[in-house]
Amino acid sequence: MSKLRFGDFTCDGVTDVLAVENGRWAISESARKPWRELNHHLHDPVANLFIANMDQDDNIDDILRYEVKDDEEQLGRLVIWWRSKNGVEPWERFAVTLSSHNPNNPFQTSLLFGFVGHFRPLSGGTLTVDYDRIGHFQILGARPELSLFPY
Amino acid sequence: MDSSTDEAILLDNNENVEIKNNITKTDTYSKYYSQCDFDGDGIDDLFLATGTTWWFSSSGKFHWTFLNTSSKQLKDLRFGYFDDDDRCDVITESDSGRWMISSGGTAPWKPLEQVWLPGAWKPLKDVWFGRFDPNDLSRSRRTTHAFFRKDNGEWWVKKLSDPAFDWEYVGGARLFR
Repeated sequence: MSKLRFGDFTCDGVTDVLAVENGRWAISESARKPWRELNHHLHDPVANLFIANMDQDDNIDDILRYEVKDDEEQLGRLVIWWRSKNGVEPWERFAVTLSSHNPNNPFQTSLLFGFVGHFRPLSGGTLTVDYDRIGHFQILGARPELSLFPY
Repeated sequence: MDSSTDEAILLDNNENVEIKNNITKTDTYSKYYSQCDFDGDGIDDLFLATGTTWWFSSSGKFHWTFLNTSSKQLKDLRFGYFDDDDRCDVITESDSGRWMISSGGTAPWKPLEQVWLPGAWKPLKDVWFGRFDPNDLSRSRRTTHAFFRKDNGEWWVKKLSDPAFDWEYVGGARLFR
Protein backbone atom coordinates (compact mmCIF):
# COMPACT_ATOMS: atom_id res chain seq x y z
CA MET A 1 0.00 0.00 0.00
CA SER A 2 2.94 2.39 0.51
CA LYS A 3 3.35 2.51 -3.28
CA LEU A 4 -0.22 3.71 -3.74
CA ARG A 5 -1.84 7.00 -2.84
CA PHE A 6 -5.39 8.21 -3.31
CA GLY A 7 -7.10 11.39 -4.45
CA ASP A 8 -9.47 12.85 -7.00
CA PHE A 9 -7.42 13.88 -10.01
CA THR A 10 -10.27 13.95 -12.53
CA CYS A 11 -12.74 16.34 -10.86
CA ASP A 12 -15.56 13.80 -10.75
CA GLY A 13 -15.77 13.33 -6.98
CA VAL A 14 -14.56 9.73 -7.28
CA THR A 15 -11.35 8.51 -5.67
CA ASP A 16 -8.48 7.63 -8.03
CA VAL A 17 -5.33 5.64 -7.30
CA LEU A 18 -1.92 7.29 -7.75
CA ALA A 19 1.38 5.44 -8.19
CA VAL A 20 4.65 5.58 -10.09
CA GLU A 21 4.15 3.51 -13.24
CA ASN A 22 6.61 3.30 -16.12
CA GLY A 23 8.73 5.92 -14.40
CA ARG A 24 6.04 8.61 -14.09
CA TRP A 25 3.13 9.42 -11.85
CA ALA A 26 0.10 7.60 -13.17
CA ILE A 27 -3.49 7.19 -12.05
CA SER A 28 -6.11 4.50 -12.25
CA GLU A 29 -9.42 6.36 -12.39
CA SER A 30 -11.83 5.15 -9.69
CA ALA A 31 -9.42 2.19 -9.20
CA ARG A 32 -11.08 0.53 -12.18
CA LYS A 33 -9.36 1.85 -15.27
CA PRO A 34 -5.86 0.98 -16.53
CA TRP A 35 -2.96 3.19 -15.58
CA ARG A 36 -2.67 6.43 -17.51
CA GLU A 37 0.15 8.88 -17.16
CA LEU A 38 -0.74 11.87 -14.97
CA ASN A 39 2.49 13.86 -15.16
CA HIS A 40 4.96 13.86 -18.03
CA HIS A 41 7.97 14.61 -15.83
CA LEU A 42 7.51 13.85 -12.14
CA HIS A 43 8.10 10.49 -10.61
CA ASP A 44 8.77 11.09 -6.89
CA PRO A 45 7.92 8.05 -4.78
CA VAL A 46 4.38 8.54 -3.61
CA ALA A 47 4.83 7.42 -0.01
CA ASN A 48 6.07 10.83 1.14
CA LEU A 49 3.66 12.95 -0.86
CA PHE A 50 0.71 14.93 0.45
CA ILE A 51 -2.53 15.05 -1.49
CA ALA A 52 -5.18 17.76 -1.11
CA ASN A 53 -6.80 20.43 -3.25
CA MET A 54 -5.26 23.85 -2.66
CA ASP A 55 -7.40 25.79 -5.14
CA GLN A 56 -10.78 27.44 -4.74
CA ASP A 57 -11.45 27.42 -8.48
CA ASP A 58 -11.27 23.68 -9.13
CA ASN A 59 -12.14 20.39 -7.48
CA ILE A 60 -8.96 18.55 -8.41
CA ASP A 61 -6.45 17.39 -5.84
CA ASP A 62 -2.90 18.68 -5.92
CA ILE A 63 0.26 16.81 -5.00
CA LEU A 64 2.63 18.39 -2.48
CA ARG A 65 5.87 17.68 -0.70
CA TYR A 66 8.09 19.68 1.63
CA GLU A 67 11.78 19.96 2.24
CA VAL A 68 13.72 21.39 5.18
CA LYS A 69 16.91 23.28 4.45
CA ASP A 70 19.21 25.86 6.03
CA ASP A 71 18.43 29.49 5.39
CA GLU A 72 21.22 31.11 3.33
CA GLU A 73 21.35 34.05 5.74
CA GLN A 74 21.80 31.67 8.67
CA LEU A 75 18.64 32.91 10.33
CA GLY A 76 17.27 29.43 10.86
CA ARG A 77 15.83 26.62 8.81
CA LEU A 78 13.33 26.84 6.00
CA VAL A 79 10.41 24.54 5.40
CA ILE A 80 9.64 24.83 1.71
CA TRP A 81 6.41 23.40 0.35
CA TRP A 82 6.34 22.39 -3.31
CA ARG A 83 3.15 21.77 -5.25
CA SER A 84 2.32 20.06 -8.51
CA LYS A 85 -1.01 21.66 -9.38
CA ASN A 86 -3.59 18.95 -10.12
CA GLY A 87 -0.70 16.49 -10.23
CA VAL A 88 -0.05 17.41 -13.85
CA GLU A 89 2.20 20.46 -13.56
CA PRO A 90 5.88 20.69 -12.56
CA TRP A 91 6.88 21.38 -8.97
CA GLU A 92 6.32 25.02 -8.03
CA ARG A 93 7.14 26.67 -4.73
CA PHE A 94 3.91 26.94 -2.75
CA ALA A 95 4.84 28.21 0.71
CA VAL A 96 7.89 28.89 2.87
CA THR A 97 8.26 29.08 6.63
CA LEU A 98 11.41 30.20 8.44
CA SER A 99 12.03 28.91 11.96
CA SER A 100 14.93 29.61 14.29
CA HIS A 101 16.14 27.01 16.72
CA ASN A 102 17.35 28.16 20.14
CA PRO A 103 18.95 25.26 22.00
CA ASN A 104 18.71 27.25 25.24
CA ASN A 105 14.93 27.40 25.04
CA PRO A 106 13.62 24.25 26.75
CA PHE A 107 10.17 24.75 25.30
CA GLN A 108 11.38 24.45 21.72
CA THR A 109 11.48 21.15 19.92
CA SER A 110 14.01 19.86 17.46
CA LEU A 111 11.30 18.99 14.94
CA LEU A 112 9.85 20.82 11.97
CA PHE A 113 6.98 19.08 10.27
CA GLY A 114 4.03 19.66 8.00
CA PHE A 115 0.50 18.66 7.13
CA VAL A 116 -2.08 19.49 4.51
CA GLY A 117 -5.80 19.81 5.01
CA HIS A 118 -8.99 21.59 4.11
CA PHE A 119 -8.22 24.44 6.49
CA ARG A 120 -10.64 26.97 4.95
CA PRO A 121 -14.29 26.40 3.97
CA LEU A 122 -13.46 26.70 0.28
CA SER A 123 -9.87 25.58 -0.06
CA GLY A 124 -7.05 23.61 1.39
CA GLY A 125 -3.72 24.73 2.70
CA THR A 126 -0.46 23.70 4.24
CA LEU A 127 0.33 23.63 7.94
CA THR A 128 3.94 23.91 9.05
CA VAL A 129 4.79 23.49 12.72
CA ASP A 130 7.87 25.42 13.80
CA TYR A 131 10.41 24.91 16.58
CA ASP A 132 8.16 26.92 18.95
CA ARG A 133 5.35 24.40 18.35
CA ILE A 134 3.31 27.05 16.54
CA GLY A 135 1.36 26.14 13.41
CA HIS A 136 1.76 28.29 10.29
CA PHE A 137 -1.19 28.00 7.91
CA GLN A 138 -0.61 29.01 4.30
CA ILE A 139 -3.56 29.15 1.96
CA LEU A 140 -3.73 30.53 -1.57
CA GLY A 141 -5.25 33.99 -1.68
CA ALA A 142 -5.26 34.40 2.08
CA ARG A 143 -2.89 35.93 4.58
CA PRO A 144 -0.77 33.43 6.50
CA GLU A 145 -2.25 32.54 9.86
CA LEU A 146 -0.85 31.07 13.05
CA SER A 147 -2.30 28.56 15.44
CA LEU A 148 -3.68 30.20 18.56
CA PHE A 149 -1.80 27.82 20.84
CA PRO A 150 1.44 25.83 20.74
CA TYR A 151 0.84 22.18 19.91
CA MET B 1 -2.50 30.83 43.99
CA ASP B 2 -0.09 33.72 43.65
CA SER B 3 -1.41 36.25 41.17
CA SER B 4 2.08 37.60 40.54
CA THR B 5 3.20 34.45 38.75
CA ASP B 6 2.26 32.88 35.42
CA GLU B 7 1.38 29.42 36.69
CA ALA B 8 -2.25 28.41 36.58
CA ILE B 9 -1.83 25.99 39.49
CA LEU B 10 0.92 26.05 42.04
CA LEU B 11 1.90 22.95 43.97
CA ASP B 12 2.16 24.16 47.54
CA ASN B 13 3.86 21.07 48.93
CA ASN B 14 4.45 17.44 48.02
CA GLU B 15 2.31 15.87 50.75
CA ASN B 16 -0.09 13.25 49.38
CA VAL B 17 1.10 13.98 45.88
CA GLU B 18 2.51 11.26 43.66
CA ILE B 19 4.29 12.36 40.50
CA LYS B 20 4.60 9.65 37.85
CA ASN B 21 6.32 9.44 34.52
CA ASN B 22 4.57 9.32 31.16
CA ILE B 23 2.53 6.13 31.57
CA THR B 24 2.17 5.42 27.88
CA LYS B 25 5.95 5.52 27.34
CA THR B 26 5.49 7.35 24.09
CA ASP B 27 5.78 10.84 22.68
CA THR B 28 2.91 11.61 20.34
CA TYR B 29 3.99 15.18 19.59
CA SER B 30 3.74 15.72 15.82
CA LYS B 31 1.76 12.52 15.28
CA TYR B 32 -1.44 14.18 14.12
CA TYR B 33 -4.00 13.47 11.44
CA SER B 34 -5.05 16.62 9.58
CA GLN B 35 -7.62 15.68 6.96
CA CYS B 36 -10.91 15.16 8.76
CA ASP B 37 -13.53 17.41 10.36
CA PHE B 38 -14.54 16.47 13.89
CA ASP B 39 -16.76 19.44 14.75
CA GLY B 40 -18.72 19.49 11.49
CA ASP B 41 -17.87 23.07 10.54
CA GLY B 42 -16.59 22.10 7.08
CA ILE B 43 -12.95 22.70 8.02
CA ASP B 44 -10.43 19.96 8.72
CA ASP B 45 -9.14 19.60 12.28
CA LEU B 46 -6.05 18.10 13.84
CA PHE B 47 -6.56 14.76 15.59
CA LEU B 48 -4.26 13.53 18.35
CA ALA B 49 -4.21 10.09 19.99
CA THR B 50 -1.99 10.09 23.08
CA GLY B 51 -2.20 6.38 23.84
CA THR B 52 -4.82 6.91 26.53
CA THR B 53 -7.10 9.62 25.12
CA TRP B 54 -8.12 11.25 21.83
CA TRP B 55 -8.24 15.00 21.23
CA PHE B 56 -8.92 17.37 18.35
CA SER B 57 -7.93 20.93 17.61
CA SER B 58 -10.66 22.74 15.70
CA SER B 59 -9.26 23.83 12.31
CA GLY B 60 -5.84 23.18 13.81
CA LYS B 61 -5.90 26.64 15.34
CA PHE B 62 -7.63 26.13 18.65
CA HIS B 63 -6.86 24.30 21.88
CA TRP B 64 -7.06 20.52 22.16
CA THR B 65 -10.61 19.38 22.88
CA PHE B 66 -11.29 15.99 24.44
CA LEU B 67 -12.95 13.37 22.24
CA ASN B 68 -12.68 9.99 23.91
CA THR B 69 -10.74 7.59 26.09
CA SER B 70 -8.93 4.96 24.06
CA SER B 71 -5.55 3.27 23.93
CA LYS B 72 -5.76 3.09 20.14
CA GLN B 73 -3.06 5.19 18.51
CA LEU B 74 -2.88 6.88 15.13
CA LYS B 75 -1.28 3.89 13.43
CA ASP B 76 -4.28 1.76 14.47
CA LEU B 77 -6.90 4.16 13.13
CA ARG B 78 -8.55 5.19 9.88
CA PHE B 79 -10.80 8.19 9.32
CA GLY B 80 -13.80 9.08 7.17
CA TYR B 81 -17.47 10.02 7.08
CA PHE B 82 -19.17 6.68 7.55
CA ASP B 83 -22.53 7.68 9.05
CA ASP B 84 -25.08 10.28 8.15
CA ASP B 85 -23.59 13.35 9.78
CA ASP B 86 -20.81 15.72 8.79
CA ARG B 87 -18.51 14.74 11.62
CA CYS B 88 -15.43 12.62 11.10
CA ASP B 89 -15.70 9.02 12.30
CA VAL B 90 -12.86 6.82 13.50
CA ILE B 91 -12.34 3.20 12.40
CA THR B 92 -10.18 0.51 13.93
CA GLU B 93 -10.09 -3.28 13.86
CA SER B 94 -10.95 -5.52 16.78
CA ASP B 95 -8.78 -8.42 17.96
CA SER B 96 -10.84 -10.67 15.67
CA GLY B 97 -10.20 -8.37 12.71
CA ARG B 98 -13.67 -6.91 12.60
CA TRP B 99 -13.93 -3.24 11.66
CA MET B 100 -15.22 -1.07 14.49
CA ILE B 101 -16.44 2.53 14.31
CA SER B 102 -16.46 5.32 16.85
CA SER B 103 -19.00 7.80 15.49
CA GLY B 104 -17.60 11.31 15.64
CA GLY B 105 -14.64 9.97 17.56
CA THR B 106 -16.72 10.32 20.70
CA ALA B 107 -19.04 7.29 20.65
CA PRO B 108 -18.14 3.83 21.99
CA TRP B 109 -16.86 1.27 19.52
CA LYS B 110 -19.49 -0.66 17.60
CA PRO B 111 -19.18 -2.88 14.53
CA LEU B 112 -19.12 -0.87 11.31
CA GLU B 113 -21.50 -3.42 9.80
CA GLN B 114 -23.41 -6.03 11.78
CA VAL B 115 -24.24 -8.45 9.02
CA TRP B 116 -21.12 -8.91 6.96
CA LEU B 117 -20.11 -12.49 6.36
CA PRO B 118 -16.96 -13.92 7.93
CA GLY B 119 -14.02 -13.11 5.71
CA ALA B 120 -15.43 -9.78 4.64
CA TRP B 121 -13.06 -7.97 6.98
CA LYS B 122 -9.63 -7.23 5.58
CA PRO B 123 -6.55 -6.01 7.50
CA LEU B 124 -6.80 -2.25 7.78
CA LYS B 125 -3.13 -1.87 6.87
CA ASP B 126 -4.09 -3.01 3.37
CA VAL B 127 -7.26 -0.92 3.13
CA TRP B 128 -8.02 2.64 2.02
CA PHE B 129 -11.43 4.20 2.47
CA GLY B 130 -12.83 6.49 -0.21
CA ARG B 131 -15.46 6.96 -2.89
CA PHE B 132 -14.84 4.37 -5.57
CA ASP B 133 -18.19 4.30 -7.37
CA PRO B 134 -17.58 5.77 -10.84
CA ASN B 135 -21.30 6.37 -11.22
CA ASP B 136 -21.63 8.41 -8.02
CA LEU B 137 -20.74 11.94 -9.08
CA SER B 138 -22.55 13.59 -6.19
CA ARG B 139 -19.31 14.99 -4.74
CA SER B 140 -20.65 14.09 -1.30
CA ARG B 141 -18.13 13.96 1.52
CA ARG B 142 -19.46 10.60 2.65
CA THR B 143 -17.08 7.64 2.63
CA THR B 144 -18.78 4.99 0.53
CA HIS B 145 -16.24 2.27 -0.26
CA ALA B 146 -13.25 0.34 1.03
CA PHE B 147 -10.34 -0.42 -1.29
CA PHE B 148 -8.27 -3.52 -0.52
CA ARG B 149 -4.92 -4.48 -2.03
CA LYS B 150 -4.15 -8.17 -1.66
CA ASP B 151 -0.60 -9.36 -1.18
CA ASN B 152 -0.59 -10.64 -4.77
CA GLY B 153 -1.34 -7.16 -6.07
CA GLU B 154 -5.02 -7.62 -6.82
CA TRP B 155 -7.35 -4.73 -6.10
CA TRP B 156 -10.79 -5.23 -4.58
CA VAL B 157 -13.48 -2.69 -3.71
CA LYS B 158 -16.41 -3.07 -1.33
CA LYS B 159 -19.46 -0.86 -1.04
CA LEU B 160 -19.94 -0.15 2.65
CA SER B 161 -23.63 0.69 2.80
CA ASP B 162 -24.96 -2.52 1.26
CA PRO B 163 -24.30 -5.72 3.28
CA ALA B 164 -25.17 -7.85 0.27
CA PHE B 165 -22.52 -6.16 -1.84
CA ASP B 166 -19.45 -8.39 -1.61
CA TRP B 167 -15.89 -7.41 -2.43
CA GLU B 168 -15.67 -6.62 -6.15
CA TYR B 169 -12.51 -7.43 -8.05
CA VAL B 170 -11.47 -4.30 -9.93
CA GLY B 171 -7.92 -4.91 -11.07
CA GLY B 172 -5.52 -7.73 -11.80
CA ALA B 173 -2.03 -8.20 -10.46
CA ARG B 174 -0.47 -7.88 -13.92
CA LEU B 175 -2.33 -4.71 -14.76
CA PHE B 176 -1.91 -3.13 -11.34
CA ARG B 177 1.43 -4.10 -9.93
